[in-house]
Formats: sequence, structure tokens, C-alpha cells
Amino acid sequence: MTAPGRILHPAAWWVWAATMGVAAVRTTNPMLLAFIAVVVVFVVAARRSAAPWSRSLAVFFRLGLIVIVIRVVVQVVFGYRLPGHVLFTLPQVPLPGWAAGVSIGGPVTLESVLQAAVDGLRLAVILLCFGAANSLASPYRLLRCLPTVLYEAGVAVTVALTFAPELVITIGSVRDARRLRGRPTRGIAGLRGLAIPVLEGALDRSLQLAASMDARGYGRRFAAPAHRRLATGATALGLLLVMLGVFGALDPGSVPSGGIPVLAVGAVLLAMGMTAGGRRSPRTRYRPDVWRLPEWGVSLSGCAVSGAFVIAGVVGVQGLQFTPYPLHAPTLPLLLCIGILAGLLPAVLAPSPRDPGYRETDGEMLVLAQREADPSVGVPRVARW
Amino acid sequence: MTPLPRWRWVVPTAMLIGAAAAALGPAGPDALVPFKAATAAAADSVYVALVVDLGQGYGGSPRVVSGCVRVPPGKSGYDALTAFTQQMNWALPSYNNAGLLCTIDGYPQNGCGQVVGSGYDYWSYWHGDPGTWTYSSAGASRTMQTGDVEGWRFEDPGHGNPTDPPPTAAPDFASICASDMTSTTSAPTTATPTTIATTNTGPMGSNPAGPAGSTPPGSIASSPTSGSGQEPTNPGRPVPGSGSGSPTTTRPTASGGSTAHTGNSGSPPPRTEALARAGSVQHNGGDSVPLLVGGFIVVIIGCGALYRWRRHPGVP
Amino acid sequence: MTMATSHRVTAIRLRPRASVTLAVTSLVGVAAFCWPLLLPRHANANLAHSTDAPWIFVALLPLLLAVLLGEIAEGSLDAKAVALLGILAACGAALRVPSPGVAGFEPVFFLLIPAGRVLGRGFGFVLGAMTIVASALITGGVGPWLPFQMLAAAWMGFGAGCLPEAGGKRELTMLALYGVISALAYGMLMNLWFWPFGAGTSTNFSFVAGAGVLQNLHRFIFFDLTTSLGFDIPRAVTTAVLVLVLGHPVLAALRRATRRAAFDAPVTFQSTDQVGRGRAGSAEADPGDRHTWLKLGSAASRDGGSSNA
Repeated sequence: MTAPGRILHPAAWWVWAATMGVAAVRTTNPMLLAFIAVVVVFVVAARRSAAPWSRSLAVFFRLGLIVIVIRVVVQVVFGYRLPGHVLFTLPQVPLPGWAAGVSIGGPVTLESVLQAAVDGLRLAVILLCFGAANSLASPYRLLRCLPTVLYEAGVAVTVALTFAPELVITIGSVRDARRLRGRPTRGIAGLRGLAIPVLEGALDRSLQLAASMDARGYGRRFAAPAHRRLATGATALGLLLVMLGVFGALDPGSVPSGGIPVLAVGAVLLAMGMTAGGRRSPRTRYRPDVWRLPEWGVSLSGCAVSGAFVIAGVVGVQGLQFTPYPLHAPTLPLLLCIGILAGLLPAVLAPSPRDPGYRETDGEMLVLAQREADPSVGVPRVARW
Repeated sequence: MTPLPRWRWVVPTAMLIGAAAAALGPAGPDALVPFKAATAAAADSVYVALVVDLGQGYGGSPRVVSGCVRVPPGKSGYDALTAFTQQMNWALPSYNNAGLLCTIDGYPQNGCGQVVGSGYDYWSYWHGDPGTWTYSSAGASRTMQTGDVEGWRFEDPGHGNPTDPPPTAAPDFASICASDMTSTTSAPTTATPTTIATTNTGPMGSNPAGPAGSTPPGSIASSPTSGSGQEPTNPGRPVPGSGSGSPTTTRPTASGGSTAHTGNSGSPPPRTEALARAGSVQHNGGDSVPLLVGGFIVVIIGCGALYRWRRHPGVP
Repeated sequence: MTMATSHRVTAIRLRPRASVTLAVTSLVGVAAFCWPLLLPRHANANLAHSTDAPWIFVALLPLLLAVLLGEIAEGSLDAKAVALLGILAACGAALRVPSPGVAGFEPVFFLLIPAGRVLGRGFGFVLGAMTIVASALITGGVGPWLPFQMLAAAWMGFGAGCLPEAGGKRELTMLALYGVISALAYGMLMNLWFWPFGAGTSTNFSFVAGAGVLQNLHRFIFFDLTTSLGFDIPRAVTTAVLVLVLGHPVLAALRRATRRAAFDAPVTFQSTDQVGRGRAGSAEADPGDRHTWLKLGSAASRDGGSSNA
């Protein structure tokens, strides 16, 4: 569906993952959460590439399991003791006076364990969505898509990302040099002898880099854009509305119409002020990532899923929320499940990494396919860490 | 990165899922096990008087229900409330995630502590001292003693502070629990008033009648058929993981499924018929079809994902 | 220009607009961390919306941080600052890679605190944020905790720049003490973020919406004691030990680099006919040169002299 060799815009993946996460936030039904989880995992399995960051999903999956375990353990040991199916009883531990109000032990009910597990499951699914975005979207490409206002910050992060592997190599070489000279490499003296030369080398490097950036005209200042005052005003008003919105969101009833609409308006104003107020710089992008039909399809599929959940919440669909008191099997709104299946679209719309000629970047950092296909391509291998 | 087999995570995950499934197993046709069974003699039990006031906005009648329950020692106010609802053949109380009491006998049908005007609708908890009700903002986790009078009143709306109106019945333990305390010898040995459709096993006696309150609305006839609207169950079905030292009582669920009250004189009017559909109703098979279909789809997609995952993109 | 006596350099100057944005972002950040403590009385009723709060902040904080970084960068971030930021962020990220903060040993502070001390609080703020972002991108772990970690680390760097003047051993002990405090505070802040997730709302350690600051703080301290202190204390101890052991040479290296970078030197431009007469446009040009053949707005000129922003 896409031109062979083109990769999806990373922001599209983030939008899709974020909207799936929003859908997961809106429900506590374990079946719906499991649905979202398998949809996300399927898309990642179908469209992940061989880049190093594609393994992030496994890390986040494990993190999610850890969160579930923590939540259940805290509930079992410290939870409220409400009546229910008793699974087992922990011995009650009397706590001193200053811990009044806290009770440890007591009967552990199935309902409380279920509730903790479902809570943890929700967080695990949200983490899974984040992991999916990490696996599918290249961080380097993401840095290239930053708005103009964040140019300097983006450059700083790019410098950091480029320099970090060289730093690791430098540490290794300094350690080897010290070992050759018979100097200690362990203990305080070893640490001092290792860290300081590396740091000083890094700082020298940074000044060289600064000089070369200056020589190439980095840091040119441009004339302030004409509507700068408008942008400043928009930013200031946006900040004010955001503060008001946060206050209203935390304290329902204090701000009319709740805090969320005010917050949304403030955020939009901030975004507008940020993009318009940035210097009208004539910077152009080298081979910018395009946003075409596949990107629209991927983003809108995620938006459709979260929109379905939001509408279901507003309409009051049965089964969106699940409480284990009293105990019953969760009901499953089937229409909503069909809606979640829309989240599978990226598995079809996005370009497949198995397409011939698929390249992760434009030959800068990681060109696995090209290199494997044509070993004569002289692309430096980046040290993986 | 060394290619550790990806299925090494399948085993702990499968164990986790298996444990969860085993724990969820008996939750289906539900043996409701609210307390440990009482082998205690009558003298060991704790008598608690309960007053439930359904609030100003309640359209039906009676609005105020009071009764006496007998619970094993060391139980909390929540257990006393649950015993009371069982005794009255009501739907069990439901709670939200934060432990806030949402419904008693399925009332209110919708919402749980939602904001209404300048206050909010919620169940307030009162402790009865002689002559007056004391507002309690700490929840009902206190251990019950004989002589405690517990009050629950639905505020519609209230403000969550002691200025909210207390239950309109008098907190008089003596009058509510008088008949129970004097009739200890004739009372059955059960502490949990149960209504059983089939024969029961275990240390519980088969006489389901609990202590009858002295006020007419609080009494139920000791008819074993008062549970006619409930689903049959397997009494004595073990709950996995339950402590070996605690014999558990089993009884058919009453979580909203009790659609019929036998016409007992003075028994509470069949308000559960109207109110039992308060969201968390136990169905017996009507709702499991979408669940099965959904579970099937989840398994299909999951297997597909696992298969695609194994085919690592690698080199095209 | 006084360089030898002044220990303080402002690598990134915070202009008034940036300062205001920083204040607002910090306020929203405090709300983002402490929302379980700050829920008002009747929020118990709307618990469903209250538990959405962390996700609102996860979406809001990156936007605010972006606006803030944009404001700071505008006019104050030149090539030297960017290069130094990038390199130091890389060093910090490399320190984080062996233990991404989860297990408690987090040596990143021992670089952040001296850098904030030497280079000023604006630089410390931005360096804290950049280090966390760089390490997240390197390890592929951009999670919902990222904006909160960025803000917390940025606050630590900012605080390091606010420490009073001192020299020699006193400076090292002050930095070590600040390292302990800031590491513990960082751990407590991140635990505060995790509290609603780890304890939910149905345990004795959970927050009770609407119960007031003191009671919720009481519960949070218990939660902290049981779950996170085992990680925070090693982190604080590691930071203090590293600062004491390596602080002196690190400070010296940073000061040397700062001197060479000459952040506060006045930048002037000479016309082409003056180029032959002397070194053109150099950082050591004395303030006597008064020509600017290309004036690019007020952003091109800097305040000379000692810094004390």
C-alpha cells in the first residue's frame, strides 16, 4: 500500500498507541483490556522491524507483570477487609499507635484480589501501549520531526544520542590504556582514573563541537516575527487557562463546566503560541517524513477505538466498568469489541519490514537491510549498547 | 543480545493465567462465602442492631428497616451489614473501588456517590449511642461488640459531614434486639442466616431462619422455601485456597437474583424485584455468550500475534 | 572581565518570560505529583474522574515542558551551551544505562549536581531534563513516567544551581549533603507518582480522595517506607559517596571547560576592515571594540562581566 522502502511517520505510531492507551484508561473490564492488549501485540508483531528498539515491547510487558504483582501483593497485605469469598486469612499484625488506622492481615477475599489484579491489568495494558510505540517508532526519526521551536533542544538530544556510543567506546579504551600502564582500574583510584579522563575528553569534545557548529553558522538569530506579541499573549493566556484547568480538574465543581474543557482550550492555545511564536526561521528539513494516507489511516484507527470508548462511557454502555462487588463474570459489550478490532488496521496499512528495500533510516545510522544485502555498502556500524 | 527463546516467558505467564483462572473458577456459579461458619455457641456471638434508612428520596415503603443480626466475634460493620441483607433476603451490598458503599439491596440503582447539586448522594454511616446518632466518617471496619447499633442512611444529597441527617429510627439496642437476646436458647446454631434450597452440608444446621427482629418489617418467616427465587448450587463446594482451619458456609447466591419473595407476613415488600437490576446482577447463562465469543476472538488474535512474533523480521 | 574569582557562570540565562513559564510549569508539576494529597473534600464522590488525573498530566506535562524549553532556548541557547548540554547529557545517560533508576543505584546525580553548581541553575534545569530524555531514548524506554522524571531531575539541577557560594572542602560537603537530600527527594517524588498505581484506592495505604493533606501524607509515608525506601537510601548514599570521592576533579574539569567556553564574554562583531588589525570577533576582544557590522537584534549581544543571575 505504501511505496516500498518508506517507513511510517513515527508520530502516527505514537498517536495510534496513545489512543489505544486512552481507550484502556476508560474501562476496567478485564475482557476489554485483554482485547486491547492482544490487538496491540498483534500490530507490533506484524510491523516491528529489526532495529534495536523493537525489543522494547518485551521490556514493557515484563514491567506490566511486575506492576500487577505489586498491586496484588499490596492489596493482599494491606487491603481493606470487605466481606466476600475468603481465600485465606493472614495473621493480623498489631501495629503501634502511630500507625493507627492501618491494619495488616486479616481475611483475604477473592473480590479484593480480583480488583487489584484488574487495576494492575489496566496499568499493564497502558504500559503495553507505550511499549508498542517505543517498538515501532524510531527515536531518531522522532527527533527529526520536532517543531522548530524545539530545534535547539532537539540538537542537544541528537548530540547526546550520537555521542553516547562513542562515550562507551572511550570508556573501554581508557580502561585498556590504564591496564596497559599498570594503573588500577578498580576501587576509588580506579574510578577516579577512569571517570576524570573520560569526562575531560568529553568536555573537550563538546567545545570542539561548539566551535564547529559556530563555524557552520549555527545560532543565527532571525528577526522576530511580526505577530510575536500575539504569540506571547497566546502563550500567557494558555498558561493561565492550563493552571485554571488543572485546578478545576482536581476540584470538581470549582470551575464551571469542569476543568477538562478549560484545560483543553489552554493546551490548544499553548500549542498555537508555541508553533506560531517560534522564530520564523528559514530552516528546512532534509528529507522530511511525509504524512500521507497510511499515516492518516493508522492515526484514525486509533482515534476510532478511543472515540468508541469515550462514546460508550457517555452513553452508559453496560460492561464498561467492572466491580467485583458482588462477584460476577464480566459482561462483554460485543459492539465495542468489534470497535477495538479497528485497532488492527495498522497491521495492514503500515509498510511491512519484510518489503524488499525497506530501510530504517536514510542511511545514517542503521542500515541493516542494505548492509546485509550488499556488503560493499560502506556504512559504519553503530555500537549497540 | 543472546537469542534466549521467547517462550521462556510463556511459562510464567501461563502459570499466572492458570492461577487466575483457578481463582476465578468458583466465582461463576458462586458459592457465596461471606464469613467463616459459626460453630460458636450462642454466648460467643455478637448481637448487633442495624437500622437502614433509605433516605428521603425513596419512593417505596417501608423506608426504615431495622433488625438484629448475630455475627461471630471479630467481625466488622460491613460483615454485620452483609448478614443483615442476607437475613432480609436482599441483594448484597456493593462497593466501589475505594471501598465506598454503593448500594444496599440494589438501591440506588445508578451511581455511587455522584455529585448532585452542592452535595452528593451516598450512604452515610452512623453509630448509635444511647439517644443519639454519631456520624462516622471512617467507614465500618470497626470490630462489632454486643450492644452496637449501626445505622446506614442514604443521603440524597448530603455533604459528607456530621450535618447530614441521621437515620430516623431511634438507636435503641434494647428494643431492636430484645427478642433475639432472650431467645438465644431457641435460636439455631447458625450465625449466618441462610436460605437454602437444597440440603446443606457442613456444620450449619438446615434451619435457615435467622433471629427475627422484633419490628415487623424485619422479620422473615422461617420458611425454607424463601429462597425459591435463587439458583441451585452445589453446597459444600470448596473454594480453593481457603484456609484449612476455617469451615466455610455455602449458600446459594442472593446477589440480586432473588426475584421473588414469598409472601411472608410482615416481610419486606418485594422491592428487590424492581431494584435488583442494579447493574451488578448475577445472571446464569444469559451473559456468557458474548463473553465466550469475545474470549474466543481474544485467543485467536493472541495466537496470531504469538505466531507473528516468532517470525522475527530479521533480514528481509 | 572577572573570571578567576567568580565561581558562578550563567551558561543559560533565564529571561523573564522563561522564568514565568518555569514557575507555571513547576506549579503544574507540583500538582501533577501531589494530586492525591490535594484532592478536595467532596472528590471522593467523583473518584472515577480523580483516577484519570495521572493520565491528564502525562499528556499535559510534555506540552508544558516543550513550551518551557522553547522559551529557554529562544535567545539563550547558543552553540556552546547546546554542545555542552548534549555531551553532559550523554555522560549522564551513559551513567544511567547500567541501572535505569529502577533498582535504585542511580549515579546520574553525581554529574548533575556539580554541573548545576558550576554552570548555573538554568543550565542545571535543562541538563536534568535532557539527561532523562537522552537516557530514555537510548534505552528505548519512553514511558508514562518520563515527563515526571524529567521534571524531578530538572528541579534537582535547578536546586544545585541555587546553592550558596562556598569553596574547597565546604563546597564538597555542601554538595554531598545536597546530593543526599535531592536523591531522597527524587525518590520520594517518583514514589508519589507511583502511589496511586501501586496502591490503588482500596488498600490501607491508598490515598483517600478528599481526606485532606495530613491524612493522605500519613498514608503515603507508610507506603514510601514499605516500598521505596529500600531503593532511595542506596541511591542517596551512592550519590553522596561519589560526590565526595569524585567531586573535586569533576568540579575542576567543569570549571576549566567553562572558562574555555567563556559563556559570559561579550560577543562583538568587527567590520571587515578591522579584521586585519587584530583578532576578529574573538571572545577575548576587549570591551573597547565598539563596532558591530551586523546587528541581529538584541539577542546577539550579551551582558558582560560577572554573572549573578
